[in-house]
Amino acid sequence: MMITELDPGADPRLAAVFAAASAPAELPLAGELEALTAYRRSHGRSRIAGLLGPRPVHLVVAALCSGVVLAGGVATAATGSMPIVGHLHSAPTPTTRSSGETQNDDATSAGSDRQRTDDETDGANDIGDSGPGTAGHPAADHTLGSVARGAATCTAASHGTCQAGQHGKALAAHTHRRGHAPGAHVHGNGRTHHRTGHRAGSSGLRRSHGTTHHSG
Amino acid sequence: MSDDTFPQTLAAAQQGDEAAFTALFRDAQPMLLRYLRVVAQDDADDIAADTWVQVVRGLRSFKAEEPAAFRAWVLSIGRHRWLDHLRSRRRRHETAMASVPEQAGPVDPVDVVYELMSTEAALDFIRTLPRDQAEVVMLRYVADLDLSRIAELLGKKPGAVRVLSHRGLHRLRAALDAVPDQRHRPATESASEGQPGVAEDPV
Repeated sequence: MMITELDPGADPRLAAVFAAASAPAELPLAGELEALTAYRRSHGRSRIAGLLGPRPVHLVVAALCSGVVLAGGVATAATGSMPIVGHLHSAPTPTTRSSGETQNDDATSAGSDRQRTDDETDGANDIGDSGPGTAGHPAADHTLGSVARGAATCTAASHGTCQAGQHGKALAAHTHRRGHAPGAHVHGNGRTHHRTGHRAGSSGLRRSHGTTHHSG
Repeated sequence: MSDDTFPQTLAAAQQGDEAAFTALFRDAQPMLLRYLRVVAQDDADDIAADTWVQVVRGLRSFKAEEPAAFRAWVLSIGRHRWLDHLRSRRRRHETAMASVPEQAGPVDPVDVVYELMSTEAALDFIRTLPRDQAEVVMLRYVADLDLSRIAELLGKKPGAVRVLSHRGLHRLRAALDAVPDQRHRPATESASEGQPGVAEDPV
């Protein structure tokens, strides 16, 4: 049996019921303020998102990249590879060597590693790797006068070649032995330092640290 | 809202025009609220508010050429919100279905027919129907949706919607027919002239 829809208009009572049920509502409608608030909030947010567009992604990428660059820079500076103003003493850096030393390295290639290790170890105890605020640094020795501290600091940093504050004094502490390669100095501990590029240029101080070899 | 102006109004609302959105709201909200008052009763206002939050979210991507489609969309969202509301109440171990008006409160059809017919009284009268019939009657004769839209909204076949509509109307008519004659006999003849049921009264 085919069921057809009843026509409510055929029954005026039903028509009256539906007319009343669908009568126009009086303004303001319930919930209008809440809906408008939600609409404003949503549209305001989407408008901001539209203004920014894909930029937040760009901002995040840029922030990450800049953070990586900054961290890398700090890490590089911490290793001493980068010159920092006011921090002249840093880790040894390789420099060119003289021909004599090259021969020496070739001849004693087996022991060169050990020598470099010694050198690095020695360099760690070197004044150049410790700042003025570290214990043992001449600048930290308050028993000395200011001039004497400066001279001691300069002497220690230059491995005895600095003559600051020693005008008129004999260079007894720095005896150049004949028969050694130029630039070799004998210190009180009997160790001989071979250097190349000694006082070469303005950055010779740092370079001399990096090319020191010990023997004996 | 006319069919001619609806596309422009919808486009303006999607672009952020508050007046356009208000026009859409005022077109759909009465039907939504009345539908929810039939099926969800006391929770109608809260569900309607949730419905509009969701409507706002999806307004940008909504496409329609006629206001009936917009009303159907809003009612569909409202119905889903109502079902979600029922599920959440069931989870709280409340007798949600018991509160759904299979047979709503004692509404006297006489009051509906012979007293001042208010919107609330008419909705109360429709609420006396079984829930599925009340839904279909509301969507069909109050929200003025066609059978295909109702079928899509309810997830039923158009034939099933037609059956529910038929049964709902039949039940409403039977309730009106059951009005005792003596109840409306004291009513003045002049007052009863405009009432179709009374006009047919042989007394």
